[in-house]
Amino acid sequence: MVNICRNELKKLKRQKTARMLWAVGILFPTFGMLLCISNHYRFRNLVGTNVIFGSFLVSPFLFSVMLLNLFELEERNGTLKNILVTGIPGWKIFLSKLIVAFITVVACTGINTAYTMAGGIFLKNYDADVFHIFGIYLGTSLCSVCATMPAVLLIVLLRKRNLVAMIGINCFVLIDFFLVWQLTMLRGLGLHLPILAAYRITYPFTIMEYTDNLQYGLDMLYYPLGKGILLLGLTAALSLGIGLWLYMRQEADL
Amino acid sequence: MRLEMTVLMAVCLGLLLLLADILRQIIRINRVLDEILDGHRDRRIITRKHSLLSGTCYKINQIMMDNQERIVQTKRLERRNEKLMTSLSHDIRTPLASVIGHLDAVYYQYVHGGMDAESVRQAREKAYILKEYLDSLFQWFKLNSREEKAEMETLDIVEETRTVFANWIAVFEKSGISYDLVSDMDEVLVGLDRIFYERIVNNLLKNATEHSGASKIWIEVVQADRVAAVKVCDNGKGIEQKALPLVFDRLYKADDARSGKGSGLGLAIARELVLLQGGKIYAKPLQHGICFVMEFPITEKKED
Amino acid sequence: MDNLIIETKGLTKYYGNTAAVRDVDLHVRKGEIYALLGRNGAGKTTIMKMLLGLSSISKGSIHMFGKPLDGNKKEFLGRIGVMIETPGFYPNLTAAENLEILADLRGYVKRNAIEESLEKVGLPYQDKKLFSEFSLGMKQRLGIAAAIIHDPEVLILDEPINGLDPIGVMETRNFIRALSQDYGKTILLSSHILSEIELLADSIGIIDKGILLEESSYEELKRRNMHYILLSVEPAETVIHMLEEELHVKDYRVTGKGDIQIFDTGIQTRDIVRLLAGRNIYVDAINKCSDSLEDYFKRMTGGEGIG
Repeated sequence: MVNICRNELKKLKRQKTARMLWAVGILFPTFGMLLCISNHYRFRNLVGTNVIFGSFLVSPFLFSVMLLNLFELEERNGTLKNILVTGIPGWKIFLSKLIVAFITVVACTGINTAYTMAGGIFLKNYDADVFHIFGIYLGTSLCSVCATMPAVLLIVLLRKRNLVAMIGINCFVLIDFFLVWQLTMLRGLGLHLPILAAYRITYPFTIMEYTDNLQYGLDMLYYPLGKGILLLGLTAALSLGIGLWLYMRQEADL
Repeated sequence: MRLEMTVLMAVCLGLLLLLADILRQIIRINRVLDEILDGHRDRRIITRKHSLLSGTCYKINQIMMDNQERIVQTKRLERRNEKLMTSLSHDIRTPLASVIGHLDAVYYQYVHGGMDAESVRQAREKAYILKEYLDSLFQWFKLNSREEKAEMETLDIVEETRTVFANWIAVFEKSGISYDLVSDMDEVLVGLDRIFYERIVNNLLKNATEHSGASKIWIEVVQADRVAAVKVCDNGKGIEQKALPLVFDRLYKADDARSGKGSGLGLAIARELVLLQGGKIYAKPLQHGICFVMEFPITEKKED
Repeated sequence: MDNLIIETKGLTKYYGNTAAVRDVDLHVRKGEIYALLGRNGAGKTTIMKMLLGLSSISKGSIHMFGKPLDGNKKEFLGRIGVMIETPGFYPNLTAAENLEILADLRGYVKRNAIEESLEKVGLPYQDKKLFSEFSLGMKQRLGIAAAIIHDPEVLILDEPINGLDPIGVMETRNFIRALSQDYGKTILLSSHILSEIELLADSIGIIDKGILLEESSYEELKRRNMHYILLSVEPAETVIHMLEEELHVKDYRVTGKGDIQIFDTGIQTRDIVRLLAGRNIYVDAINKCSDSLEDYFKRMTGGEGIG
């Protein structure tokens, strides 16, 4: 399996789409960092900004676009038949692409952490606990990626039409992000959507320093942890399961 | 205590997995080897790149592939020999049929009184051509089976070339071919077998005179580094790019029409003789025509 | 038969309600070159895909190396080299990188397998050229390199000569022939360039509209069906009647020009000559001819040629 994942990474060498995605992942956190520094916000604001924009916008975006790229790569170049003829079972291909997309997310999480640690030096209340920050970003990214799993279904169904699929998953990601951003308005608190659950159950862990007014927010956004994890897990499992099944069925008749 | 236990267990688990993996590979290898022993000699073992057993698998495969390669070469040689045999029988049969035809005519004339010298002359000529061909063939076979050895002496290649070339002047003048010999050195000492070298130059000049349809034939002797190059050139019809690598093949003939002249062996023999003297030979096409270039290593002047 | 490398029984494939391939019984012997002839869309590629497990089988069975395909697919795929449809490779990678990806997935049979297979097809190993910059000939050659990289016993090639220039065609032909003659590999190829098939094939299978019309060795095919006696006579109808009555000729055809082609193998030229001379028929020409593969194909599939 490690070999297969390494293969997938090799396929991205010199590829324009991959390069663009890496650029997004590397450059995006700079905006948040510069914003916070120029406005002299506190460190916790930087972390909060990076959580919302980084983990709930960039991470799902990177995950789904990278995944689409990896699947569509085979379609566009007609290489799937060559790969299947080497004796590799279809589900391993599916899984390896998932893992590579996930690695992309983790890598960008790391970069996000680096930027945060670097930027935080200029801000007040700097807490230099790298593992804590990385843990926050990783946790939130994990949850938001789980909530974005239905995009996998879109990818499997539409991968032969790159443009449609790209528009589809981007819309999905943007809508999810919008809902998170405007959570408190538009009856957002009443909806039991996976992405909102992801945000709400991780919110307490992203707080860097407690203040009194924060308690009100915490109460409002409270969502039972167990229920949240169950919801996310189900979303991810169902999406992946159905996606895999659809993929195998399509593959049986190249 | 807890930490050490977990580390130990992890290591044990890792080792067990490794062992299972190796066992699985060994079973697979043995299955393939069984099939090979059963007679399926083209089975191969496929292995991961970085496994403990991959080196072993590669080696087994290499042994099988080397074996197969040897068989392939033998089969190819057999096929080429068959081709030679067929072309040989054809090359003998044609002039022989002609000889017999002429002799039959002579016999008929003799029986009915009278004799025609022309038929006898023809028969005799054809018989000699046949003999020449068989001589060439025999020489080629001897060279090929490495029975001939070169008797090397240190000779002046310019002088030797000049001597052989001089013998052809009469032929050139009779055919209206202009000729020239150019050398940028007066004396170049090379290790040669005199008789072999004479034969080579004769073969090359014969080729140029009879087959190229050239109006000018010339030889250049040049020296470059430690190598003396002798180029036998003509401005005739040359040889196609595609055919260049095949031109020294013993079965190669420039025009497939059985014109009767040339058996294709002249160049093949020349090549064997050059190789026996430690040199090399190749064909270089010109704008109009072709050069056959021989290169021999120059003998260092010994300080007495 | 012990000797059959590929054997299918009643192989059928339905797409919805239409049968793309119906009841095909293929027999490919070890060490031979088997050519599948058919027009575009006749089902050649579909059959090949089913043999490789790329398409599911609606009905029928496939046996390879004497064992059924089900359950042994992975082992078989390691012994088969494939080039199907257009060569599919990653345009952002070089030739060696592309082969490396496939070889890492399948496994290696020797340490420098990639270098050697590129050498065998005449592509440079250290080349920095990306696949997107390849000419069609180079792409095809890379496809072949990918097929031979693990030294398989069987090669399945779909239109290997497609789109090559004449030199490329000749080189590929020689290469395929050497693989079969020298190395004893079994090769199943499909093509619609009949003149090339004639130079290569040991056995031929003719496919039209998904049905295997005929399968036999090329020699047998020539002997049985492609040799004919061409008769130029006047009047053709009377002669036909005579031939049917007296010599019991059954397999014949009248050409557009009014000539008669007699395919029955038992009929001798001398008998025809004697019969016609005896009845005072004027014979303009009597020849022993042989159909080209293209003509034979046209006859079998009742239509235009394969082009």
